[in-house]
Order: sequence, then C-alpha cells, then structure tokens
Amino acid sequence: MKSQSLLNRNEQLVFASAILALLVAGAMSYRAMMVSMENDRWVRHTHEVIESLQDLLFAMESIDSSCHEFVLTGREALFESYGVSIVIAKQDEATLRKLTMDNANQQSRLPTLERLMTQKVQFAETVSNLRRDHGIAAASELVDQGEGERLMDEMRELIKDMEAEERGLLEVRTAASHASAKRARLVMGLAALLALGSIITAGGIVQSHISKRKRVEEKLRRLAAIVESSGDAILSKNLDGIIQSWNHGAERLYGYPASEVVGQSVAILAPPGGKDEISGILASLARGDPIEHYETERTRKDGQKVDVSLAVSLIKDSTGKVVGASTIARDITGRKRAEAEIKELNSTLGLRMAEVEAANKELEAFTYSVSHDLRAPLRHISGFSKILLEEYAPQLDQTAQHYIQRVSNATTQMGLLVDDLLNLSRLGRRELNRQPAGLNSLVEEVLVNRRQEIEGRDIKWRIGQLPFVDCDPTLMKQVFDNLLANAIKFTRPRRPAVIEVDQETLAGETVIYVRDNGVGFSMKYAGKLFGVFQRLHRAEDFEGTGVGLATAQRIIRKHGGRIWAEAELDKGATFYFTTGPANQSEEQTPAPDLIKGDV
Amino acid sequence: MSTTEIEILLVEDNPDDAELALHALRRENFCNKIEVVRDGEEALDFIFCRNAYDHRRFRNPPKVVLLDLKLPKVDGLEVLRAMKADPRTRTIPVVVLTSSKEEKDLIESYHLGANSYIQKPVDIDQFREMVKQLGLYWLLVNVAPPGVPSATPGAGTGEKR
Repeated sequence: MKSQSLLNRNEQLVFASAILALLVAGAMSYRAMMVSMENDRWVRHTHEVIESLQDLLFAMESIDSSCHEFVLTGREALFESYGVSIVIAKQDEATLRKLTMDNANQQSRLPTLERLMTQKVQFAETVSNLRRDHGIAAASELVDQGEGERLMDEMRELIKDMEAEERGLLEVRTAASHASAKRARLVMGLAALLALGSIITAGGIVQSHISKRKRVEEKLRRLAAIVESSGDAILSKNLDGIIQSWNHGAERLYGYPASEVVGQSVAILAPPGGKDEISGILASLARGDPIEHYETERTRKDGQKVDVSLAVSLIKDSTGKVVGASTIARDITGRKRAEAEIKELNSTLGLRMAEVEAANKELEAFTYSVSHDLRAPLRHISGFSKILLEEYAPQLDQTAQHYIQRVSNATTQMGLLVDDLLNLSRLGRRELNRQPAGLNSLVEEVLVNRRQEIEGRDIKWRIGQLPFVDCDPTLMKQVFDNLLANAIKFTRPRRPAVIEVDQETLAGETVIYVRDNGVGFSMKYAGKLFGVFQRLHRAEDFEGTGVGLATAQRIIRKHGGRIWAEAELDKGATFYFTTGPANQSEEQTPAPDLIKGDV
Repeated sequence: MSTTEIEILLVEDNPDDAELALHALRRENFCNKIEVVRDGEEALDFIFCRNAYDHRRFRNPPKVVLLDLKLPKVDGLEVLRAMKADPRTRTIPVVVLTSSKEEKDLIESYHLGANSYIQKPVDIDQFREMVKQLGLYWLLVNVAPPGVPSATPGAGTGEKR
C-alpha cells in the first residue's frame, strides 16, 4: 500500500518555507560572523603594527640615549644595551615590514625608516668612535651639531605618521568590526525569530495533526470496541480472500482465535465442497457487488457445521477502489432448527387437524345415528304409554295413571332433545348456502311462525332497521328463531315484555342484537351459555333442552361471526352476534323508505 | 287368514313399530286385512308368491305395501327395486314408511318408483293419525290398479306397448 503523507499541500509548503528560512538565516548569521571575525583580526593586526612601531621607536631612543651616555661617560659597558637595542630595532623593523605587507602606504615609508635607522646607527657609531679616539669634546661637538637629533626627529616623525595611519585604520576597522558585529546580531536575531516562527507554525500543525489523530484514534477505538463486543462475527478480508481482521464474535462462531486465521484464506471456513461458493463470493466482490443477507453453511474449527446469515459489504480505499470486504456473519443454526421444528410441528398439526376433523365427522355421524336410533324406542314408549292411558285407564288407579303420565311427559321432552341434537349434528355436515338476505324479513318469518306463543302476551316489539347480509338464510333464520324464542320465553313474567332487535356498530363492525327485559341470568354463568345441554334455569320455570344457543353459536361460527351475551339477573339479557368475519363489509339496507313500513 | 283378503302388507322388522301400527290400524278396523312380514326376504316371498306364500296369486295383490327401509337380510330399497322391476308387481302401490330422514333414501325411493314417502312421526297421536289416513286413503279413497292378468312367471317380463 502506498504510504500517505501526513501533511496536506499547504502544510508541506509551510514546512518547506520554514526550512528555507532557517537555512537562509543560518547562512546569513554565518557570513555576518565571518565578517565580524575578519574585522577583529584586522583590529588586532593594527594593534600589532602600532606596538611594533612603538617598540622600534623605543629601541631607537635607547640607541640614541646609550650613545649620548657613552659620550658623557665613556663607559664601554653601555654598548651592551646598545647592541641589544639595535637587534630589537632590526627585528621590529622586520616585523613591521611583514605586518604592513598589505599596506602600500606603510611599505613605501619602510625604506625611509630603514635609511634613517641605518643613518642613526652609523651616526652613533661615528660619535662613539669619535669619543673613543678624540675624547668627549670632539664627540660632543658632533652631537651638538644636531645631526643625530635631526635623524631622531625625522624617525619620530615617520613613526608618528605610520602610527597615525595605523590608528586611522584602527578607527575604521574598529567601526567596521562593531558594525559587522551589530549586523551579525541583527541577522542572528531575525534568524532566531524566523526559526521560532517556523517552530511555532510547525508545532501548531503537528499539534493539530496529533489531536486530529487522537480523535481519529478515539473513533477507531470506539469502532473497534463495537466490532469487538458485537455478538455477530465480523471479519474483513482482501479480494484474494485473505483474512485481515477477526473479532471475538468470529472467534466464538467459528472457533478459531484471531491469531490462527488472520493472514489465512477464508476458504478454511468453507464446508466440504463449498470452496466454489467462496470463490464465487470473492468474484462478485471484485466486480463491486456487495452481498446482502445470504444464508449458507460454514465449518467450524472443530469440524461442526454452522448455519450462518452473511452480509458482505465492500471496503474501498480513498480513491474508491474496492480493496476488500467486511463480512458480518450471524449464527442462524438455532433459527434454522426452530424453522425445521415449526415445519415439523405444522405437518404434525396438519395431521392432527385431519385427525380432529375425522373425529369430529365421526362424532357427528355418531350423534346423528344415536339420535336417530333413539327416536324409535322413544316413539314406542310414548305410544304404549298413550295406549295404556287411553284404553286401560279404568283398570289403573290414580297413582299408576300419574306415573304413566310422567313417562309420557319424559318421552316428549326426550323427543325434543333428540330433535334438537339431530338438528345440531346436521349443521356440522351442512354446507352454507350463502345468498343476500334481509334480516328484517327473517325476523318477520320467525314471528309469524311463533304467533301462537305471542298471542295473548303483552309484548312491545322494537324492531330496528337491520342490514342485508350474505348468509345462509335458513340457518340465519334459525339463529333469530332461537334468540327470539328465548326472549319470548324468558320475558313471560313481564307485563309488558320489551323485546328489541336492532343493529349497532362496535369498533367498526356491524353487530346485530336481540335484547329483552326478561329474567336474565348472572354473568358468572355466561361461559356455560352456549354449551350443549347447558341450562341456566330450572325446567319447572322455563322449559328447554339447552341446545338452542349451542345451535345458534354453531351457525354463527359457521358464518365466521361471533355471538356473545350480556345480562343481569332479573334485568334482562342481550344477545349480540356478527354475521361474518370482522373485515367483511356488509351491504347496508339500501332504501330506508322500503323498510320503514316493515317496522 | 284368507289370502284374498290381504289389503295391506306391512314390512316392518321392529316388533314395537309393528305392534303400534297394528294397534292404530285395528282402531280403524283394518286389522283383518293386514299381513306383517319382518324382513325383506319374507316381503319378496309374499309379493312374488313363493316359498311360504306360494299359495298366493299375483292377481290378488295387496292394495298397498307399507315398506320400512332398514330391514334385515334384504333391505327396503332392494325390495322396492325388485317389485318395480317386475311387471307383475310394478303396479302395486308402495308407501315407504321409515324413520330415515336421509335425503338420499328419499330420492332413491322415488327414483325406484315409490308411490309415497312418509317419515314416521315421533308423536304417537301423529303416528296414529298418519296410519289412519294411510288406511283410509289407500284402501278406500285410492282406486287400486286392476289385478295383473294371470301369466306364467317370466313370460310377462317383456312389457308390450
């Protein structure tokens, strides 16, 4: 992978200019320092020259004074210091010659100096010889002529000139040296400032990079923590299928620790014969197609198979080129097992359903044949009882007649029961013969059929506008018959009885209800209401078989509807029912004026 | 019992039903003209004048046969089919008198040529009334078909038109 520069283009420019500035500052400082050092050297040089000049003058003065002293004293010993002074003077003269090599002015003065020195030494020699040979007077006379003094003065003058020249030079050089030192300081100060600026800028950039990096690292740490703590297996691989990262979830799912698989091919996870599938996935990724929710099988380290759901997404570099993929794998073995179990349960359930259905049919057939076969003996019992009562009554006492009457009544009741049971069992086998039916007309028919019961009763009928519904009219009429028969029966003690038949809308559903102000019942027995042979009233009070509501419920359920009741003891009862599933839209009575006349 | 006087053949395996029916008929004074047989085989013997009934003649058929469907040996529908398949017995009126409410029995009976189909009422009064009506109707009101001319068995199987 190509290494990326940490800095962007602008930052690179800043760094380059800082480095350049430092180099320039360094060079300038160096040069300023060199200039300053050179000037210093020259200052020193000037001092040396002046020193040599003074030494030389001193030596010549010594010679002059030694000469004078010898003239006065004639002491030969004086010639010792005289000789030394000559040597010194010669040396100084040589030094001067050397030191002033660079200065043409001074060099031009050197021959004069040399001549003066020679002349002075010769003069001293002459004076000395004269003293030694002709005595003090002769020597003094020569001296008094002032030749020596004149030479000396000339020499002093010359040395003074030379010194003045050097002093002038010294002044210039000192000034130059100071100036260059000042410049060097300035340049170095500027360079230091520049360097400081560069360092601060660079430091800022580095600081910003560090904090940016820290933020990125923090983010990466968080992401890494998320990846690590994920219950799903998350792994990444390059386009050759080489695993590059592997989280704990992956370790848990596949059984391999990261150290064993990072750097390996994902093919180690392939189930036997599944390598082609993995290369297929890699090929698809290389084309740039991610894979979403793909269910397959993988092999764990221990060789066990595991069902997984994979989501594979592409990893792209900063140029958008696909360089690999991350895979999130979820263990769906449990789900698969559950699915298989559900499937099995469903098929078992299907079998059970068939069994139940068969059992139900059998039961219905049984009920039918039982009730059918019961009819014959019933007819016989009632027949023979009747014959006994009619034809043999004179031979029977009152008690015997009473008992026979009881037998007869019991058979009548049993006959009703058998008929109801037969009816109920027939419902199970009967197919619904659906057609649109106006419920009002069904109610009318029921009331016509039951007019004998109604006659002589004080009943206030409140029959509302009922809908047209798609139903089996014969059966639906039976529902109304059962409910109205109950209402008529259980309002017997009421003067007046009020029986209401209407519809209302409950939770968007049309509900038909039959309400009466009869004896009602306690809601704690409501659960028994629709059971076969379940009765909530004593037979002495209200006759009945306990099959009617069971039949009504059966019919309503066959239509996909529901039936329920609300009641209060001694206050009355309301039976509600729907004629189909909740979502079934029912045709409402289209023309109210047609109906008004019916009610 | 004179063979010529039999006007009603009651085919009923249940003795109680038979007894009650006889009792009802007796009240209406039809008792001397009734023959009760207890299974399909006996019924066929009577109708086809054979075995125990070979002294009977085809030209003196009963005025009506009251036929139960659930019978031992040969069931009611088989008896009906045999009667209506034979020209000598085809014209004898058959009233199916059964406790069966099965629709297919009803359809099958009419299909085979039954002249009437009656479900036995549970209520004894209704039963008596029904028996009385049956007797009155088939013995007194209804004009019986003319007796089938005497013919050798088998010769009359091909119906001439």
